[in-house]
Amino acid sequence: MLVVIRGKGKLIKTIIQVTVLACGFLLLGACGGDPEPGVVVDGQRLAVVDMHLHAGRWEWTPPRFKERITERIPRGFKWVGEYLTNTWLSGEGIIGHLDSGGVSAGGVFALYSPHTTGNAPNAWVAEQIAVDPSRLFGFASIRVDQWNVDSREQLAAFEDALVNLDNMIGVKLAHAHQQFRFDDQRYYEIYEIAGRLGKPIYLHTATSPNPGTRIEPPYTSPAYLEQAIRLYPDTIFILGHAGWDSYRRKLTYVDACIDLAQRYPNVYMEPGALGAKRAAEVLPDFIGRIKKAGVAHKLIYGSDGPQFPGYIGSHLEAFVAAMQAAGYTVDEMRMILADNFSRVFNLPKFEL
Amino acid sequence: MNRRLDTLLPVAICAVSGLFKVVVMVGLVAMLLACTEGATPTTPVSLSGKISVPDGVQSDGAKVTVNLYHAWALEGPLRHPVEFIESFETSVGQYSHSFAYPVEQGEGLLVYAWLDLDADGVHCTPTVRDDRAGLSVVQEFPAAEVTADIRLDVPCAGPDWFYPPAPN
Repeated sequence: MLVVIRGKGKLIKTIIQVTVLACGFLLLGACGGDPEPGVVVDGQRLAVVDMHLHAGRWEWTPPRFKERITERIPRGFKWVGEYLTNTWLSGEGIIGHLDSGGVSAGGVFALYSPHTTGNAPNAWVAEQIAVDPSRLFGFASIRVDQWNVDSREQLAAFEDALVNLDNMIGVKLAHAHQQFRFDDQRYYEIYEIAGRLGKPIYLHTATSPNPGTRIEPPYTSPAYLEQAIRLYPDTIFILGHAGWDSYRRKLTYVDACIDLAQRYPNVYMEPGALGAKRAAEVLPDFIGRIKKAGVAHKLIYGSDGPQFPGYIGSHLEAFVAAMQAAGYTVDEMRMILADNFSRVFNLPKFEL
Repeated sequence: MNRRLDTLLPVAICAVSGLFKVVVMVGLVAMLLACTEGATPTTPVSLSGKISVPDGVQSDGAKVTVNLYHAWALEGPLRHPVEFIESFETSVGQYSHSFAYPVEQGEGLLVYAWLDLDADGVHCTPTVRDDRAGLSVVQEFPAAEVTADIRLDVPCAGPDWFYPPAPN
C-alpha cells in the first residue's frame, strides 16, 4: 500500500513538474511590464487604434485551422492550443495584448467562416467587447454559406445584431474566407443594410495563407467590388489588408485598392498584416505607394492581431518605422494611427 | 575532500536521476500526443460524365475547370456545405477523372465546373461576364464509380450560387 502511495506521489510530482514546464512555456512572451501607450514620433506621443483584431474560441475553430495555429507549438504540446486560443482571443486577453503593445483601443471582429478560420458569433463578440467598451469596438458579421436557403433569416439576424448589440460600430466580411464572390449581387443587401444603419464595412481583400481560403480574383480582387461601391455610396467600404496578397507574398492588389480609395469617397483601406514578418520585404514598397498616392487620409491602421503575444506591438513598431523611413509627417501618422478611425466611425479622438 | 564528495555525490545522482525521469515523462507524453496524428484516409473514386453548354455558346477549345467538393463538412455550428476536395481541367463534352476521396473530411460529392470562354484564366472579370458555370450533385454517393453530367449555363456563378439549392 505504501509503495502504491509513494508511486502515486511520484506520478503527481512528475505531473506537477510537467505542468510547471508547460506554464513556463506559456509565460514566455507574456513577461515584462506594459509600455506607455502610443508611439513617439518627433518628440510627440501619438495615440494608436488597431482596428483589426480577432476573437474566437477553440471549439468554433475548424480542425485545419487548429493545426495552423498550433504550428508554433512543439509536437506533443499542441494540447495547449485550446488554452491559448481561449485566453488570447477573449476580451480580457485582447485588452492585455493592447496594453503590451501600447495601443489605446481596437476593433474586434465577429465572423462566420466555417470553411477556414471558424466562427466568432456576434452575440459572443458583444460579450467580449463589454469587458471594456471604451477600448473595444465590435464589428458584426453575417453567415452566408447557405444563402439560397436562409438569406432572409441571416439578414434579419445581422440587422438585429447591428441595431441591438452594444458597441457594434461596423461590419466584418471576408469573401475569400466565407467563399462568396465580390460581384455576386445576391449578397448586395448586406451593403444596403450597413449603409442605412451607418456601419462601415471592413472587407478582407486579396488572399490569405490560411487553408481553405479562396485565392481566385473574384474572391480577392477589389476591382470586383467596384459595382457595389458605386451602387451604395452611403456605405463605407474599408478594403482590409489593402490588397496585400499574403498567399503569394506580393502587393498584387494594392494599386487597385489605392485607385478605388482615390476615386470613391466611401472607400478606405486597412493595412493588416503588412507589419508582420511575412510582409517585411514588401512593407517599404507599400508605405511608399500610399505616400506617393497621397491617400494617408484613407488608411486606417490595423494589425490582424493578436496572433501571438507581442505581435500587436511588433506589427506597430515595424509599421511606424517604415512610415518614418518613408518621410511621413507627424500629421499623416496621426491620421493613420488613430484619427482616421475616429473620423470614419464618428468617435471622439483618442487622447493619451 | 573525500567527505565532501561523499556528501555531494548522492545529491548529484539524485538530481540527475530526477531530471532524467522528468525528461522521460515529458518525452512519453509528447510521443503519446504526437502519435495521434495520421494520414487522411481516402477511397478511390472514378468520375465521368458529360459537360454541355447552351446552344449558341462557342466552346470549341475552351478550357473547363472542374472543382470537386464535399456536399457537407464538419458538425455543429461549423457544419457547412461546399468543402473543396480538388480541381482538374477538361473541355466541353465527355470527361473522366479519378481521384482519392477524403472520407473523413466531409460527406457527399458536388461537381462544379466553369467554362473559360475568353481564355483569360479568370471566371469573369468585372466587365466581361460571359464565362458560364454549372453544378451537379452526385446522388448515388458514396460509390467507387459515379456519373455527373453538368450543364454550364449560368454566367459568373460560384458553387454557392447552386448549392445548397433554394427550397421549393
